[in-house]
Amino acid sequence: MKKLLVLAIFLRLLVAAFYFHPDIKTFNFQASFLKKGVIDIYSYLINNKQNLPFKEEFVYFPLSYFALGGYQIAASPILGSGFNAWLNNASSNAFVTDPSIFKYLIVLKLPYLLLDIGMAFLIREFFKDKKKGNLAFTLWLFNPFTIFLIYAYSNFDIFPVALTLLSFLLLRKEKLLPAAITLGIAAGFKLYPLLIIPFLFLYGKTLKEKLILSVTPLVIFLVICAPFFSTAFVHSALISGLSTGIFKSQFVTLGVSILFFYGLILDKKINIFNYWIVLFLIIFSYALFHIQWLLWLAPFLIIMVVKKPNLGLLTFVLAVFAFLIPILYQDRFMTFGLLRAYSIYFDLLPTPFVVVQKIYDPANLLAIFHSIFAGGSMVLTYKLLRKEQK
Amino acid sequence: MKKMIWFTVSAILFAVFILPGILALGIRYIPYDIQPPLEGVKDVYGQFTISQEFMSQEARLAGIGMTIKNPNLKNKKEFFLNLYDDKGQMLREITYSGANVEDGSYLKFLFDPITDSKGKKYTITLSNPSGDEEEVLGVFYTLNKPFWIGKMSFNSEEQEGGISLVTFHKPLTKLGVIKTIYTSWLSRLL
Repeated sequence: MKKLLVLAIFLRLLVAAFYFHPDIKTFNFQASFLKKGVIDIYSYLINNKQNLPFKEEFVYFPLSYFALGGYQIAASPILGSGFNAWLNNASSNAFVTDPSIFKYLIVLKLPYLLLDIGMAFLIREFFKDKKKGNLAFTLWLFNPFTIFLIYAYSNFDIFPVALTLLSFLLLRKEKLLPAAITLGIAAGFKLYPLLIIPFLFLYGKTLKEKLILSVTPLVIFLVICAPFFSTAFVHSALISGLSTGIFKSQFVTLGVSILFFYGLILDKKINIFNYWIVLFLIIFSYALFHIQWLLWLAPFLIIMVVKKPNLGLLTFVLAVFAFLIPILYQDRFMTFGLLRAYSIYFDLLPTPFVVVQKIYDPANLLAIFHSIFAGGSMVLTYKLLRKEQK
Repeated sequence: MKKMIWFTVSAILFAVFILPGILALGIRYIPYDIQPPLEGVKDVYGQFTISQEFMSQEARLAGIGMTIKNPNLKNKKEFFLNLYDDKGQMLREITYSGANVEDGSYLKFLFDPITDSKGKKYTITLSNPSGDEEEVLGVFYTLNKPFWIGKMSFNSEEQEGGISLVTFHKPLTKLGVIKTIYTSWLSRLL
């Protein structure tokens, strides 16, 4: 097992060092203001927009800022004196040709590595059978999907994902209050864990349990956000496209509503774990999702596949299509742009969108992939919810 | 599970070490230098044309890249980039349609390679003859031009700075591109 762990870490470090997504530079630039004593990053970025090399607002929730900024402070001796200049360098070519880029990428992604490996151990805890636990542990460590999702796309969603996984583990052990608190903390990074709250309300057996599970995460979330509540915070984070984008598709609202009423009226014993999976299958089926969001579901699918191996093939096919959808977006950094740290020559390659455009309408192909994903998700949903009725 | 481990190990090693080389086969033109900073805009329309002298630093000159504004995407007309040699003889003419130019997009004007371009002086002229004041095309210039970018003229008058441009060159062999990419990567790594 130790050898496997070493191999898994080695593979992760390779991708972490050489694959570059510009988001990591953007949010680390924003988080760097913590070491200058800035607490309210939302107002600061808006008020100082004119003087900053990057004009983007901070679209994430407060704990993201403090986690990333706090880590930068801790890692500053390793990052070195040139790091701030690198963060502030607005020349898109110069910063990728900086010889220190590989060091910066590894150091900035080290917290992801710790959480990622920690999640492998958490996943093992979901199983009473040691053999199955080890299988899930290995499957998490050795699947290319999550390695690329986390390290190539510089996915800091791993913070809330790890916390959400911990929350579900606590829930499984019937530690309701700690589970609810952990979920609230996860929402302090990104809003999406709160989507499960209506279902947690249904899951609670008594009114007290229902209130603990549904109110506590909201209270924790509000406590985290309260000190930052301002117009800047509301516009940058709370109602930003990133937070509200999920519900731009009416089909998402429809699907989530159907799931809720199904749980309310037809399902006598809710399996909250399966509801979490179905909830995000609905979202990814109908919303224009960011590739980073796929991580929200990944550890839960690994656990599901080990528990129900007959769903493995379908899950694998869905994972492939879930990857193909964002790869077709007109965004270089879904594909070849990730290789800019090797050479800026990769800017010269056309995106898959442009290549497809020469022979077929890429928007139509995207719709086809979405429909296939939605179809497979419906079958998976049926399998998961039907089992619960037996 | 062993198969899954092997698959993942192979996939990652392939993605990190082999894939960049394979993708490099798709690179048809190599830029010389990076684009200088964008520091101002000259509006080209009607008889207002912009010219730029430059010295090609590599052989097989095959294109010019520059950033162009098309405010509110109003220009949908044809515009031209002409390439002249140092004797004023036109070598290439590339036509573009404003309908395909997004505001602030980086355009590549590609043409048949000029084999012996290394060390030779050229002039490009960008014109938008059918555009009126509402259909200007903004050409970005720089005040920090590299040594090989020479005199810039707007409406035949010499201006400070130079068009923020990049020259593209056809690589001699595909293997050469792959070697350049891996060399650049390894030189920064080691």
